[in-house]
This record gives sequence, structure tokens and C-alpha cells, in this order.
Amino acid sequence: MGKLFTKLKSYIRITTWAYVVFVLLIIALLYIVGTSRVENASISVGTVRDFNDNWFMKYEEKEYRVDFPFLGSSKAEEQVEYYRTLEKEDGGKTIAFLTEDKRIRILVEDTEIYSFAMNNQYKIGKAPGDTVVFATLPADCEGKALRILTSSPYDNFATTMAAITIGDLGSQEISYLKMKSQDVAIDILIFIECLAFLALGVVNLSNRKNVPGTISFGFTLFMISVLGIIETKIPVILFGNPFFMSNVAYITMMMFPLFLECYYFKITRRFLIFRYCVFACSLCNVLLQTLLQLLNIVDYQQMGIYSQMLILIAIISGFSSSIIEIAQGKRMGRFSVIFTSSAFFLGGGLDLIRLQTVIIGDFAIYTRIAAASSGFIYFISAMVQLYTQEMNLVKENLETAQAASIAKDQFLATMSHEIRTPINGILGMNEMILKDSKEPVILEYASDIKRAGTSLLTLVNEILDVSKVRSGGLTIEEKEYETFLLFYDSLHTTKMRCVDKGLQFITNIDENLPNKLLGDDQRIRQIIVNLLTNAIKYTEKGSVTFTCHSEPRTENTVFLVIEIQDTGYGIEKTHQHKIFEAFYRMENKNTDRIEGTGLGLSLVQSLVKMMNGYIEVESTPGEGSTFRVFIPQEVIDESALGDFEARCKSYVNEEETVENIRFAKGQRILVVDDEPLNLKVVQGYLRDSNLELVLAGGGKEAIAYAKEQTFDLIILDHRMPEPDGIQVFQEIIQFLPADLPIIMMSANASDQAKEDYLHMGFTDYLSKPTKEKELQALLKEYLQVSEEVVEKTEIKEKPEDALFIEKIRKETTIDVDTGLSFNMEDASFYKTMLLDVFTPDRAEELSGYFQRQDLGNYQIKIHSLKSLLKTVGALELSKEAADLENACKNKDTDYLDLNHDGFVLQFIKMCKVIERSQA
Amino acid sequence: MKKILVVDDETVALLRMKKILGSEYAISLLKNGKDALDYIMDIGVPDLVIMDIEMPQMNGLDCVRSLREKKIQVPVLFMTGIEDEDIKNQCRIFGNSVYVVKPGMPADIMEKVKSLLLAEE
Repeated sequence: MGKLFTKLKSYIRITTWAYVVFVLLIIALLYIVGTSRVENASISVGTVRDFNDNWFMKYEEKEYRVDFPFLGSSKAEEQVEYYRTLEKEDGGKTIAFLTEDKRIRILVEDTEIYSFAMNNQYKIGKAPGDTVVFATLPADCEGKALRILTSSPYDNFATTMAAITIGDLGSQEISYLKMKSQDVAIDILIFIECLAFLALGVVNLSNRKNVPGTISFGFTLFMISVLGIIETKIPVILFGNPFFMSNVAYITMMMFPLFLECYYFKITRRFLIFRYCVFACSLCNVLLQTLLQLLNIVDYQQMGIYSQMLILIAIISGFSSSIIEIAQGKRMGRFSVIFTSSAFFLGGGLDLIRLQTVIIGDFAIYTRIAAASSGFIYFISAMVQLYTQEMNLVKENLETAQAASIAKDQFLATMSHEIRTPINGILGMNEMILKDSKEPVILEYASDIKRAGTSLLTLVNEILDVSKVRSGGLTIEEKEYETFLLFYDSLHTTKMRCVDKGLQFITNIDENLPNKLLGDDQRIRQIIVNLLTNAIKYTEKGSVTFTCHSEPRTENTVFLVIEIQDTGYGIEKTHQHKIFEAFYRMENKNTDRIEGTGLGLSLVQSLVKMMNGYIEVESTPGEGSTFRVFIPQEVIDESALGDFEARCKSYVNEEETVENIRFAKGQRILVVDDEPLNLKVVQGYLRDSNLELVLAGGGKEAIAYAKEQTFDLIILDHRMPEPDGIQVFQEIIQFLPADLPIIMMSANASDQAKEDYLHMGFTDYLSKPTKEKELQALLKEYLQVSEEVVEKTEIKEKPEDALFIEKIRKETTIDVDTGLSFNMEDASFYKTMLLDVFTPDRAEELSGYFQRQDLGNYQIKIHSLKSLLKTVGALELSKEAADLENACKNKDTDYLDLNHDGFVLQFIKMCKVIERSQA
Repeated sequence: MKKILVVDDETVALLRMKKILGSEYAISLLKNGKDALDYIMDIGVPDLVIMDIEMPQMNGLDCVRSLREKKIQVPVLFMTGIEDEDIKNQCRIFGNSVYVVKPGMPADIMEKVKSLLLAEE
């Protein structure tokens, strides 16, 4: 059975059948139109009056007086005659009346003026059909008899006569049209709705949207409008040929269940098998009826009842399946189906009832209204469905996008923490190396590590910042800051990078800059460092100039104007606005070797904007670029900054020495962090501090220690697996003395976070990554410092050594500060280093290898010389050595030939100066 | 091996000299007259100097003049763009110097170098 159905299904391609039938109908209609004649409708104004009285009926040898409309009984095929005497004024007028299913012959005396269905032309089947009769009387008819002869293949129809009117032909036609105007209007409306549905269906098909049933319903409406138009019998006035017309009405009714089923198929899947049966029946109905009609066995008209039954069954099944589906919760579109089905049901039912009571007249009033209204409702419903689908799609997309965005932010936050922790560990350990080691080469390596690690950290922070900006999470935190510190911090590190590359670093900081400003100095630092890094990256030779001055703005604010100029590759005009886009990197032959993410400038621009400033760029390709940033800042302390360089020098001497604070013996502190590296760092910092350190790797361990031992201070990391810092805190304060200092250590550096921690009850706050100075300052505050005299771990400087160093600083291009920083700030040690490095022997050895073309040994020698030169701060020479080393690696003998002697010359000159300065 | 110092602002010229003379002599290359003076003062006087005359910062003639003033009589081979009376005079005045018109045939250069060095001995 199943197989049969699937086979059946594949043959009954519902919609295709509907389309086929529809096309056939169109062809039929066109045929009718083509073979008809068009009446000349003369439109003249006149009167139309009743013509219903003074009639006589001749039937079965008897004569009767009758008035119209008249309902009598008669037998099939019996001839009936009605006659009336005409007056003078009747001449030339037209009589009009509706007739149903009888043959008509109208004569004046013996002259026939009208006949209908008398000869069976164009007829299919034996039903004469319905029509409206317009018969024009001859001009001269006074006193003559008007005779109407009828006969019908059916009982009683011959003696069923409608009201007759008489008037000018034009007036009759107009009057008839007027009578039918309402129906016509509704039919036209239904037709328009049909077109709308078809259009909607076609458009949706191409858009892949779907409101099911639009096209099927469109066809259904088409059928109804066709039926309606035909039913008005107006085509008779326009086209004549009534036979086919009335049969087409029945044909339409025959097709109706097919289309209705198509529509229901699209709407609901319930009662599928039943549906298929009904559809099959409808199809059989069509074929059978047509067959019977063509063979003249039975008329369409007589089989109409079966079509009506099928329509009824279809409506009921569609209606009930929709009800069930609504009960199941599938609301979409079902209500309109209910409405449509109900409307058709009611309309059809009322019309059927009306059919019984009115013999001749309008047979489809209610069906029309039902069709028009349900078409309207369904169309609205379809639009609502489409709209809802659209909105759901939009909502879905929005939700997906939002979820993705949240996921991304969470991911970034987690990842950044996960990435930053080991990086901070590396940098922390590296600080240990820098602190403990005395070997210059190791120090140099450690210095490189510090640089790489710091830039990695900066990169991670940059990525996080950019994403924060994009999601609106980045805030500008304003606080008072000293302009000197701002510049010192941001220039100190970048200057080294600049000189390393062999570029000149020039600073032009206006003396009259205000000492203290209000703003987010961290972010300004970020801006400056970013722009300087870019300048250095994109410049191969020449210089990078940092200029800063202030311009007055309002009473207590100024514009901080920062200008960074380089002599690098420059930026083409067309690229100048693009460079601020995230991830945009200029691509030309010069720049693809340069590393970087392309995020820096985007971040800078966002930050500047958020501070209500603006940024501009000027650039000439091949000559260099200038970036200028204007940031409005409130002035806190107007007094002048002073000579920046001078202040730098004195500051260096103060700040670079880190004291090793010794605390009073017997103090014990607990440090809790789940990251072993971080614990090691703290341990390293406090190695010589006299403090007893207890380290805990997790919350539970910490709580246990806190219970068992007594501590003088506790430091808790926030982010740990359960229990985290906060939870540990809440646990331990329950049994620890209230005056025990408990410090929170966290990477969360905002002012708000600090406030929150203090609010919670923490004594103080330490930011991560932990800086030695900060840790010591904090501990100094809460613990007892040792009474012993604190020995300065610096070796006492011999004054002549300091003098020597100053001479070197003045007379050579050696960066003495860098040299000192590599040598423990120890002037005497540094001097020894200088003397050791700058011996002519080294140059001789190198030249020897060069003359002998011993590239191998030359490379080794120049490599070690490079490091040594860097260690003593001879950065330019070191860079030249690096270039020579590279040339060795690349076997670029030409480069060596051209530059070896120049290098040796510089080196020897330096040796001479150093020798001289000793004296 | 005898040491020759070549001074020319054009890198290609320097390399060329090294190519021509490198197999027989120890060649040092410098790019300007000032460096050459420093080199001679700080590192030592070579056995011969090949000096380009037309140089932007310090003219080759001025450079050698400076040497002669310091009583340094090192033999000089001038590389000149044009052969005119002026260069001939200068060579006479400086003593111990000859010239070659740029670029100069390798054989010719080699010969002149040899003869200058021989004259020294």
C-alpha cells in the first residue's frame, strides 16, 4: 500500500497539475474571446421601465393571464408561449430579462427578433445555460403581438420567468451593468488579490522565503473571480455567445476543489492520505464530468452538485486540520486558513441556500464576499508571516552575533590572563638575573630578554586594549601626574631602542610645560611609546625627534602637543588616513620586513579620541613623517617643568639604586599565589630582607597555614582556583587578629578595583606584575625595619672614576648611562670595562683576520666585539659591528671591504680618547 | 705585504681597486679624506695612498696637501677626472705622486703602483 502511495505521490505533483489546468483555462478563455463578436454598445440616456404586466401564457392548449416574475410548473420539452400586445411607444425599444436553462425564441407577430439555444451551436451538453436576454423590438410594432416561446430540457424551467424591463438598448445595458456593478467590483477586487498573491508567491520563490500556499491561493482566487465575472453575465453583453459561458461556470466549479486541495496541501500536513484521496477524487471528477459532457450523456449543470460536495469536503478537512494544528501550538498562518475555510464554507452554504429560494438571479453573492474578504485577510496574514520570519531571522542573527561577541570578550579576557601570567613570570625571573649576575655578557642577554619580553607583554596588552575599545570597555582614568615622570618613563626605554638601531634620538621638551596635569598618564604614555616605536621601526637611518610643548586652551586647561618626527620611509598621501585602521599595514618593498600587528595606530587614535584630542600626520615618502597629537589636559601645577635633560640626569642618580631593605628579625609573612613563578619572583626580591617567607600555592594551603602559624603580614593573589583570594580572605579574617595587614595582589589595576578591595577590608593593594620597589615600599609601611645601619650595597665611587666617566660622556658618542646600567651603576667597574674593551689589540686582531680573509675568525671576533661594545654603552660602534657581523654571515665581502677600515678607525679613535681621558 | 690605503667616495671605485690590487697588496678602503687623515694619524702611514680627487667633503688634493704639511711623504696615486695642467703641477709640487685618469686601465694602475713603491725603496 505504501508503495502505491509513493508512486501516486510522484505522479500527483500537485502544484504542477494545478499549473497545467490553469494554463488550459487561459487557452480556453482566449478561444472564447477570439471567436466572439463584440456588440456595439450604444450608451444613451433614457428610461427603463417595468414590462411585467398584461402578459398571457399559452400552455397545454390553455391560456392564462400572468404577471412577471412567474413561477409555474411544466414538463421537460414542453413548449410554452407568452404574449403581449405592443404599444406605439414600445417601438424600437429593447426588452431585457434573465433566463435560466431554457431555450428562448422571441417573435413580433411572425418575425423572429431573438433566439437563444434554439440551434445547438457551440453547445456542449444539452443544458441551454443561463443568460441575460436583450431583444430589440422593431420601430413599427403598434398593435402587434410580442411572443416569447420557451422550452427546456428540464421540468419547470420553461415556466420560470424573471421580471422583464423595457427601454433603450443603451439604457438597458447601463441599467444592467449598474445592477451588477457591485458584483463586478468585488470580482475585480478578487482578481487584483489573485494577482497580488501570484506576485507575492513568485517574488518569495525567488527570495527563498516561504509563505506556503500563496500561489495556490492565488489560483483559487483567480477561479473565483472568473466564476464571478461569468456569473454576472456581463460577458454576454460584451461578447455574446452565452453557451460556453455558463458551462465555463460549471467547469470552474469543477476545478475549484483541485485548487483548494493544492492550497491546503501547502498549508497543513494533516490527514495527508485523506487529502490525496480527495485530490484524486477531484481529478477523477474533472475527467469524468468532461467525458460525460462531451459524450452528451450528462450535463455539467447536472453534475455540479458533485463538485460542490468535493469543495465542501475539502473545506471541512482544511478547516479541521488547522484547528488541530493550532491546538498543537502551530499558530503561524493557521488562523487565516480557519478564516478562509470558514468564509468559503459560510459563503458557499449561504449561496446554496439562496439557490433553493431564488430561481433566477445572483447566485454567488456570498461566495464572492467570502472570497474577497478571505483573500484580504490571507494576504495580510501572509505579509505578517513574512515579516515575522524576517524579524526572527534578524533576531537569530543578532543573538548569534551577541553570543559570539560575548564569547570573544570572555575568551580574550581569559587568554590575556593566561598569556600574561607566564610572561610576567619570565620577566620576573629575568629581573633576578639582572639583579644578581655580574657578567656583562649574561647581563646583555638578560637585557635582550627583558626587551623582548616587555614588547611581548606590550603586544598582548595592546590586543586586549584594542578589543576593549571596540567593545566600549576601555575607560580613561584621570588622576594628577607629573609631566616629568610621564616623559621620563616613556622616553627612557624607547631611546635605547632608537640608539641601538644607530639612529639619533633628539628630545625637545619645552621648559615651560606645566609641572603637573590632570589626565590618564598611563594612556598618554602608551600613545607616546606607540608612536615612538613606530618612528623607530620605520626609520633606517637618521633620527627620531620627540617634541612637546603646550598650547593654551581655556582658563585652566592646555593642549598637550606631542610631536614625533622621523627621517624614515614616509607615508604616501593615499595611505595617510588608512594607517589608523586596525590591522592595516603599509605594504611596500621597504616595510614588509618590519614586524608588528598594525594595531598600534588604531589604538592610539582611539585613545586620543577618548581623551577629546586629535591626531594629525604629515609625511613625505622618502623623507620622513611627523605625527602630532593634541590632548587637552587640565593644569594642576603651572610651575615650569624646567630643563628636561638636566632633570633626567639627577633623577637617574636617585632612582636607579635599589636599596636592599633589611627588616627586623623574626617577622614572618605569608605569600599566596597559584603561579609558582610569581612566588619565586617575590622570593627573589625578599631574599636579603631578613623576613621569613612562607609560600602557599593555593587557597586551601593558605588557610591551613594561616591557622597553624602566626604571621605578621599576608599577601593574597586574587585570581586562583577555588578558593580564590577573596574567599580565602573572608575565611581567614574570621580567626585572625584584626590588625594583621592583609594585602591583595591583583593584575586588575583600575582605581575602582583598588577601592573595592579596600572596601572589602583589605589593608592595602599590590599590583601585578610586582615591582620590587613597590613591594619593598609596602612592606616598609607595615613591617618593622631593621635597627642596624643599612649598608649601602653600592661600592663607594672613587671621584676620579666619576670624572673619567663624565669626560667620556662629553667627548664621545658613548651612551654612558646605558653603559652604567649594564654595569651595576658602578663607575669604577664601568671604567675598568671601558679600558678593557677599548684596546688597540682588539682592532689589530680583527684587521689581521681581515687581511688574511679569515672570515670565520673575523666573524667570531666581531660578534664578541659587538656585545662588548654594547655592554659599555658604545651603541653606535656596536651597531656597526653588528652590521659587519651580518655581512660575514651573508658572505658579503664587498660590505666588509668597504666598512672594515672605517670601523677600525672609529674604534682606534675611541681608544685614543679613552686613553687621553685617563690622564 | 705592502699596505695600500684607497680613498674614494664611490663604493664601486673602492671595490674595483681592491679587485685590481688585492691579490698583491694589503688594501684598506676609506670613503672620505677626513677619515683618511685620521687613519694615517691614528693607525699609521701606509706604504701607498690611492686618492680620488673629486670628493664632496674634502678634496683629494687638500687631503694630500695636509699630509705634506705634516711632513708625511707617503707616495700618492691620484685618480682624476680630467687630465689638465693643474693636476700635473700638483703632482710636481707634492712630489712622490703620479696620476691616472679615471677609470684607468688595470694594467696601467698596477704599473704605476709598482713604480711608486719601487721608488720609495
